[in-house]
Amino acid sequence: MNDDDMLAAMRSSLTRTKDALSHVRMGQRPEAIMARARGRRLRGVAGVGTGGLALAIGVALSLSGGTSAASGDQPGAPSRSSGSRAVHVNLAAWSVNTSPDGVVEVTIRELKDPAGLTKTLADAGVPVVLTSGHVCSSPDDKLQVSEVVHKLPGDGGLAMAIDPEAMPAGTELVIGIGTLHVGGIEDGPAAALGLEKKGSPLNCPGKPKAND
Amino acid sequence: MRNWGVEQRGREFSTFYTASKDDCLRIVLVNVGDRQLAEDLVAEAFTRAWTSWRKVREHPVPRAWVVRTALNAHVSWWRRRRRELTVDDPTAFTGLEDSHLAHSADVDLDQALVAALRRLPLRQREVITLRVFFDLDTDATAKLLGISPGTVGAHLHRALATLRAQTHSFSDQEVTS
Repeated sequence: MNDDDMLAAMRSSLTRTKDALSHVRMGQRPEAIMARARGRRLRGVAGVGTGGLALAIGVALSLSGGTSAASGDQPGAPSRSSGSRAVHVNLAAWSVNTSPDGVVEVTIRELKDPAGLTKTLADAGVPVVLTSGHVCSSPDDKLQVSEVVHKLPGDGGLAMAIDPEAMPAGTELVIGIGTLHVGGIEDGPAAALGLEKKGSPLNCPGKPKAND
Repeated sequence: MRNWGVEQRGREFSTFYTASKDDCLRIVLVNVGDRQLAEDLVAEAFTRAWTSWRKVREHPVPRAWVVRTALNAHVSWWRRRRRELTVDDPTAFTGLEDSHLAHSADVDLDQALVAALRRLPLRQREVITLRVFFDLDTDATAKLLGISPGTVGAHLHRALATLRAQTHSFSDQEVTS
C-alpha cells in the first residue's frame, strides 16, 4: 500500500473513530473561556509570570493590603443567587477570586488553613468537602464534575476554575488535595475532584482512623 | 464605538467557539485518549484563540489552529499529574476520573491504529491530524505548522510508514472498506 492509500485508510478509520464520539461534548461556556483569558491578561498586567511565584504572592498581598478581602458588590459583577458573593482572597498558600461572570478561580500553592479555604469557597457559592492526603468519593451516582471544574494549566500550583452555577442543586464538590510525586520526587500540590450529592456517605480510603 | 467592537468580537468568538468546541474536543481526544486532558487542552487552546482573536479570526482554518494549539499546549504540570500518584490513594483517584473513550462500549475504535497514532512524535501526529481531519493539503499544512512543504512530506511519509508497520491487519483489510 502506498502513502496515498494509507492516508485514505487513516482518514476513513480516524473519522469513524471521531464520529463515534458524538456523546463527547465540551462543557465550558464561551463566557468561561473569555473570563479565563481576561484573568490571565490581568495577571500579566500585574507582572506575574509562571516563573515568578514569589513575586505573584507579593503582588497579591500588596494589592489586598496584606490581608484577605471579600466583597459582595464588585462593580460589574452579576447578582449572585443563594447568598453567594464575589470573593477575592489572596494568601500565600492559596487564592480564591470570583471573576465578573461568576466563575471562581482557585489556586492552591500549599494546603494551609483548609477550614479557611472551605469557608471562603462556600462564601463564593461553592460548597466543598476538602480533604488532605486522601480522596473521598461516594458510591452513589457519579455526577459530571468536568462540567463544573476546569483545571487550569500552569506551573507553580494547583489552579482550577469552578462554575458555581453549573453545580446541580444540592451538590457539593469533594476535593482531595495531595502531593504530586514525579519519579519519587515531591513536585507540589495536586487534587482529585468529585461532585457528590450533599450528605452522601463518603468512602475515604487512606484516611487516618485515629481521632474518629 | 470601541465597546461595540469588543462586543462584536465577543459575539464572533462565542459563535465560533459554540460551533467548533465539540469537534475540536473529539479530534484532540482521538489524539490523547484522555477525556479530562483533552478538555484541558482544548480549553487552553480556545483561551489562546480568544487572546489572539484578531489573528485567529483571519486564519483560513481557525479550527485547525485550535487543534494544533491544543496538541502543542504545554500542560506539563497536569500531564505529569496523570502519570504519577496524585494523592495517597491512586485507586480512589482513578475512581473519580471519567474517561469516556476508555469505557464506552459504543465507540468502535480501530484500536491498533489509534494507539499507533498516539505513539507518534508530536510533529508527525500534527501532520496526520491536519491532513486527515481538516483535509489540508501539503502547502496549507506547511503554512500552519511553519515548516516547509518538503518537511511536511517527510513527516507524513515517516508517520505513515510507522502506522503501516504497526497495523498490519488494518493495512490488509482497509482497501475493501
